[in-house]
Amino acid sequence: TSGGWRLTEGTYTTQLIDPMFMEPESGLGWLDPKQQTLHLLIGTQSPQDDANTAVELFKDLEGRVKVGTVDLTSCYIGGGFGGRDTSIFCVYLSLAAAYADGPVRIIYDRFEQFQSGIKRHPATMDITLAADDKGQFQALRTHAVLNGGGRPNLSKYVAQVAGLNATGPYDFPLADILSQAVHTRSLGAGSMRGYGASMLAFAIESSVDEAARSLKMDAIDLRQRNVLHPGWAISTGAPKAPPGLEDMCKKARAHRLWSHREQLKKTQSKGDIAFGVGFAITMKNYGTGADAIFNDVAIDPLGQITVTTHAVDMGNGSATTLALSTAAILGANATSIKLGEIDLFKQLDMVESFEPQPQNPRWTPLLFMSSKAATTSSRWVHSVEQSSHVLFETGLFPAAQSLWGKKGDTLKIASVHWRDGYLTAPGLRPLSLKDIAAKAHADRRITAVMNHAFFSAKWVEGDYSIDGVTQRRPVDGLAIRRGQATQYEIVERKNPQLMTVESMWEGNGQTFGASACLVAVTVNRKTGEIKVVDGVHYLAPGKVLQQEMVEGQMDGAFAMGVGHALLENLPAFEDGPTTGRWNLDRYHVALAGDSALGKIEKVILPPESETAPARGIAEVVLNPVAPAIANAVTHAIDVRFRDLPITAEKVRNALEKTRS
Amino acid sequence: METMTLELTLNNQRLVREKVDPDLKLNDLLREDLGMTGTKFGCGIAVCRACTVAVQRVPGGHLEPVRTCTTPVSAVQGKIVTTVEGLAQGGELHPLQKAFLEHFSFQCGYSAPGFLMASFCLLDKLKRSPIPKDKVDEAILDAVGQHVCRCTGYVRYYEAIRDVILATPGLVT
Repeated sequence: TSGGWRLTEGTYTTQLIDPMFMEPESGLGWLDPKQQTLHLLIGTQSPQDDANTAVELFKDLEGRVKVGTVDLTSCYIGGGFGGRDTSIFCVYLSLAAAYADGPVRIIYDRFEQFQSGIKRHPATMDITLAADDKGQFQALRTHAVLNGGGRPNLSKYVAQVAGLNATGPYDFPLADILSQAVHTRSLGAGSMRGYGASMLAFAIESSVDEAARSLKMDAIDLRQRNVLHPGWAISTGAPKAPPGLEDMCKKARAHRLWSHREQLKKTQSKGDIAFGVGFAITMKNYGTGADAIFNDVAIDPLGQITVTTHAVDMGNGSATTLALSTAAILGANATSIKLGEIDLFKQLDMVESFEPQPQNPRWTPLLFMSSKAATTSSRWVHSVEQSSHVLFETGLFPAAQSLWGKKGDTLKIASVHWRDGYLTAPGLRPLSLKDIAAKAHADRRITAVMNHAFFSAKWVEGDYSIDGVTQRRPVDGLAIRRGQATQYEIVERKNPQLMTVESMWEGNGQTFGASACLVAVTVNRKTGEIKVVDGVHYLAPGKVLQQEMVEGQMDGAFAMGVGHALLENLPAFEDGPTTGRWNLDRYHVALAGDSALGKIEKVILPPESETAPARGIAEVVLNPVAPAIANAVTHAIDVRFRDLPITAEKVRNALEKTRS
Repeated sequence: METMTLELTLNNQRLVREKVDPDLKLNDLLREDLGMTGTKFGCGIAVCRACTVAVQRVPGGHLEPVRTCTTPVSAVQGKIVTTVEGLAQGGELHPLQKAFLEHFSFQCGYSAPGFLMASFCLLDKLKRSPIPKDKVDEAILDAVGQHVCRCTGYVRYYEAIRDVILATPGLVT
């Protein structure tokens, strides 16, 4: 104790993890010496960053190779999880292509992927948690060191996010947070799903369970007393805690697994088998705090909608969600989604600089961001919706008015509605999207709209005048195309509400989501084997855009969390993946049999209001799983493991120690 | 180098190739030589099973799942190989493919061909030896339980396969 507060202190460590996306990295490259253009074809999460990296490589280089332009084609990728975000692969491919006599293809096999690919940072986290006798958290000290390896990648930002999430979902009047990535001689670590917060979640949620034990309190009750309420400021500086935290605690406390856990422990523990239940709750920021989106929505004369974006799909979530997001405004899903596009958006002529240029209507703090941080639902959808609104208001609605003739002239946009693919208005014949699109093209009305949108806690907005009508819109760049024209007309931004780097920093543009996990395990005292046998996974996504995909993210995250808790492990230094001898024979990921298939209940909290945002969920939903499993193991065998993964060998050794 | 004339049936088409290295991996034949990239390459050591295809010794024979990343082409000489490209018939997706789509079974899709081909073999097995309904989950786990997927947590693959088994007459007693 200290000053009347009870202190819980511990050092927690997490392991080196490979994202283990299924398709090893590969690519094609060739140099066109006449045009001084380097062509690259890569499966990447960060096409713009990769193209910039390739340009940078050859800049001011003296010698026979001249590269003026990099033409990067972004391919469909077989999984990413962050591991394809600014990967070194692009550098290797660019160098090989530039200096080879002909086209080059590089394909990693799995040994090479383990040897070279980006990893999750191993972390060491010292935690001191202070609570008063009533179980009110008073202070937290977290010092986290992330092993970034030998090559600079995104470690700086991963450490920032680790720090941002270092207080967990709790209200601490006092917090001392130090989070740093260090340079070591191990393999390079960078972006990976959970992005720093997943390691901290293990440390904080283990620590809270230890505090509950020391305070002789119910571990969920302790959490419920201390979780942030919606809208509360977060100790690490972000302005708004997410909804759902208290509700998840209440639901989990009432669940049979928790309310009957001691009874279950007695009845389910037999012979060498020990049974235990654990809980963990987390919140995590989605987006990066400064998110930049380009997209274009176009309609052809047949009424087919195409969405073009620089987003890259890691699965099929982005393409599906973006296809759905035109429906409410344009009456139909998009039929075609073009991902990973960069060049088209040069027509917006935006200028990027950290230095503000308030007089320049084309200025933005950031042009592109890579596809990561669970941003489709929250960021890209907004941008597509904005283009769709402009397309409808300035192109399709006027075309519909023309088709309706005189009666259409006085029609207000608010009085029309889409119904079964037809635009309807009281007393007028329904018009098909196809007919409206054909008319818009015939009359050379607006048939495509492109925008750039920038978000940091709020969207940059400005006034935009199209055909004499001015509207305030939450985008920071806009261009339109008429009829079958190929060139876009830029609509100049006026009276913008801009953000500077300082205002982003001070305002802390982060937005958060919440997830929790209740899990039951069995531990075989003889073999040390841990099995997840039952559980509940909670998520507060806000507005759900596509139910099956949200559930799919929960299922996938659960299995990955089991892997992180119990199975996945690489030595960071000697005998690690740099030896080129690592593959799935030694690196075990969760299989169906490890994942308590069909036993994990999914609880999706309803949106907190009609205007609830669609939150990015793919990262936060991973983070409570591993600490919940660790807490369940402690409940089962009364041993605390502060080091992940909790392998059978560690369990056997620990139980041996307690026996002796 | 010793070579062979490779003869096999691939997706109902006869394939003959002269001077083939007998140790050439079936995965390389499919992906590199024939450009049939539906069959994936995941680990290269027969663990992840993303590279699974279905092989029959003779027409009407049992369909066996085979991992192409470690199988030399000499091992499928004269046999009948079906890859994911051969599942759809007459432009109509196989019921398993339809079920995978309807259930949102896959996310990045890279494991999906392996799951499809292994469960395709399972359907063949159940057609020959139907099982009680309460053994279906066990049979699915037995057929695809070693397949690695990183995105989905397996749940929706299993749901889709179960649905197809239960909806196909004659597989369950």
